[in-house]
Amino acid sequence: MAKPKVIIQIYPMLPAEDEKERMAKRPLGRNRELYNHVVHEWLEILQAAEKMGVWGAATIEHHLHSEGYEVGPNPGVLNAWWAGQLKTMHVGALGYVMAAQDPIRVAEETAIIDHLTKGRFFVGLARGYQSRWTNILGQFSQSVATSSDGGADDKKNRDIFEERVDMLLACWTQDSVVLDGKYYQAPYPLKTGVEGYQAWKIARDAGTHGEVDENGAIRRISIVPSPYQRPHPPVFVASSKSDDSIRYCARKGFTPTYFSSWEGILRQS
Amino acid sequence: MARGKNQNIVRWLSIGKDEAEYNEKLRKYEVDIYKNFYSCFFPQFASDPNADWLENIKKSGIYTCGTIAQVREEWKKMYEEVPAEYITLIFHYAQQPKDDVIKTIEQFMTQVWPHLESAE
Repeated sequence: MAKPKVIIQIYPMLPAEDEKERMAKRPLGRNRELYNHVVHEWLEILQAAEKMGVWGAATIEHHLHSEGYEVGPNPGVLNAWWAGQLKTMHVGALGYVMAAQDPIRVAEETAIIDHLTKGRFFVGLARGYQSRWTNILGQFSQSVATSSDGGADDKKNRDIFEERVDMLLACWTQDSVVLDGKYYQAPYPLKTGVEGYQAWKIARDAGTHGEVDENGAIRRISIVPSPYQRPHPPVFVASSKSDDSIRYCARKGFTPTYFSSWEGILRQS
Repeated sequence: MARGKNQNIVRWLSIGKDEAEYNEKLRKYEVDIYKNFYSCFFPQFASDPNADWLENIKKSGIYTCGTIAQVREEWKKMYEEVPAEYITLIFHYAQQPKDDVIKTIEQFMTQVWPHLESAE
């Protein structure tokens, strides 16, 4: 038997005495002095936790909460900073909201953090339930937030999530890829490839094989760098009630992360 | 695969020396965001507007709160059923001050975690 690996997940909530004070001091989320204090003091918690044997430090991806709840728009930036400040703890996020993320950018950012931590890194992925920002940041593929209710928005959100996660895995593990999805394509446009790229000759001769065709068009892409961990960092997927999410994790070898009651966990685990 | 392998249980955690203390912590650190934020998104979590929001939090099923002994027993019971490879503990720092977050983590790591065994 082994000991469970403990992850400390901080949802940075800018403080107010109570709801009334939060309203009186609005918008707390834009208070620069408060945020600066919080983002630096946060590290002291992680350093203390590291000494206690805590395995991992994580945070969330949430945007636009001007009232000061869960001010965490970019977990990758924090992970990268913690990578240089922590010696043994793993860092990660629970998780990147794939409905609002570009899969190539997630592949790149996570690969870099994997290198900065020399493998002390895990990648959490989530579907996105907060329409306030998911629907905005996902606009380029008409992404919408989910409430995991089996409705049309839920199904579309799941389609986009699964498509982007598959793309993320491909970008991590293959030297070159064509991302031919319903909601995202690369190269773009897929039919012609990227034409008119001025430095196509060296890309053809020194880049990944097959990226450039006989006319100099970019027909495949190669995400660089590749991750430090092989085949890729461990993947965690957030779930609050969806059985489909749990089955998806089982198929992919991901770690389901249960934001659910004990009855839900017993049933799904 | 052994039960618990590749599984990650998430809990919000609040520990007090007695009921009065952990209730006070829940009121100060959790009621605002639970009432105004979480309950709006998750109908499966208790959110009776006529109830004390403290009771809603305790009924939600996603918080483990109590004295050290109570929290330890709750986790030991969970682990008898699902010895999860990972545990994620959530804190609303800085609504919960740094020192109290650190103290709570220390209580968990020294007085709860040693009693838990996970799948290999």
